[in-house]
Amino acid sequence: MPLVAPLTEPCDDELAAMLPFFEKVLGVVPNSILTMQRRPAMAKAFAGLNTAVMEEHADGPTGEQKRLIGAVASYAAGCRYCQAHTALGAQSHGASDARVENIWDWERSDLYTPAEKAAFAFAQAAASVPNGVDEAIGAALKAHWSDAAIVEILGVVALFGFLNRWNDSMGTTLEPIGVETATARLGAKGWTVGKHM
Amino acid sequence: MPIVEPLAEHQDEELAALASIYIDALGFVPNSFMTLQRRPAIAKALATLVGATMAPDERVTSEFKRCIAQVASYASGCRYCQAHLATASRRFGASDERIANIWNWERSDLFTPAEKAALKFAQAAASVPNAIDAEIEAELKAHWSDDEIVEILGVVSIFGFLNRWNDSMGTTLEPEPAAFTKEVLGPKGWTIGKHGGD
Repeated sequence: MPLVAPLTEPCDDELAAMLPFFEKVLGVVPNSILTMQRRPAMAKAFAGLNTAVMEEHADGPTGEQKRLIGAVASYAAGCRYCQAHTALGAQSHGASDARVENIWDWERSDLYTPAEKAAFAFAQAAASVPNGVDEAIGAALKAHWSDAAIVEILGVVALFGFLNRWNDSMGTTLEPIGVETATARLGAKGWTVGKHM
Repeated sequence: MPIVEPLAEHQDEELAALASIYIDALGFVPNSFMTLQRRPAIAKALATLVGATMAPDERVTSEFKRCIAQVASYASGCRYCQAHLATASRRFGASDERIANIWNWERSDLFTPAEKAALKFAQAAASVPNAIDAEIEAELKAHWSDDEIVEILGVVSIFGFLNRWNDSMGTTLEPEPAAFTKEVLGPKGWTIGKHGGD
């Protein structure tokens, strides 16, 4: 059970207009936003940040890569709701089943490029407590990505800094499509719905 | 040294205007905001969310929001955020005593039972793995409404963004918060660490 229940309807037209973005990516309006909208200004500002962070740039990571980066961060932090949602998001942006299923094992897998692995190493260290980012991780990142792309990658990791704390603390109920996808893609690696029932 | 350097100037008028959110709270424009401007849309959206989450609520006041965020930042270890929050706390009316003793909130009589329930929640929420349990939830609900809990978690979560941002970027800490924090939190063990700029 979540700490606080979501509101069932959008709080106003402005928020309602922001929900299609999430529906397109996830296939459902997430309970996280429906709960956040008890403070409408916060929910709208959060939706705005999510959209801005996920916008694609020529020299930055693709939408699919961004969701995989978010997945690595969410594994480091332990939020199972976010692990399910990043799997959904990666899939809707074209990730193969294999790339979703093996993301926890990115370091040893040959499914990911060196540039992606530099971003994943950064995400994993950045989402750890204590923070594990060091000079080597920074240097590997700079070898593959521009300064602006690094800002963008850290934007994704930090967005999941917000979401990991939000969902793991609220105990947000995971929507059926999330349970289904995460069970299918991540169940074999040990994912369970835990507190998000 | 930060992984990426901040930009020297605001990238457009909208960003220059949004900088006021930070100037009001801190008294200066942070290097984190100037670095994030390399992706202007993200910088704008973040400033808007910081404004929305840190705005005063009736019982979750501006000063207390900084206490909540500070406890979260102690749990995660971001010294840049700790310095900014100490600085903002002072600007929102916290006594030096309350600022200096926030790390010790559990044993201090400077914080009310309602505040301690929120701070315990913040500390557990910012821990990895997440440490919230039924007791913490019950205590929180005994003192705060559902909407206030959303407000409190909003503060903890925006610092989920900011703790990861600054502790990973290694953002250089600006002179004003560096000096103040060294004075007030130095005796409690705070050091500038990776945020010294060199």
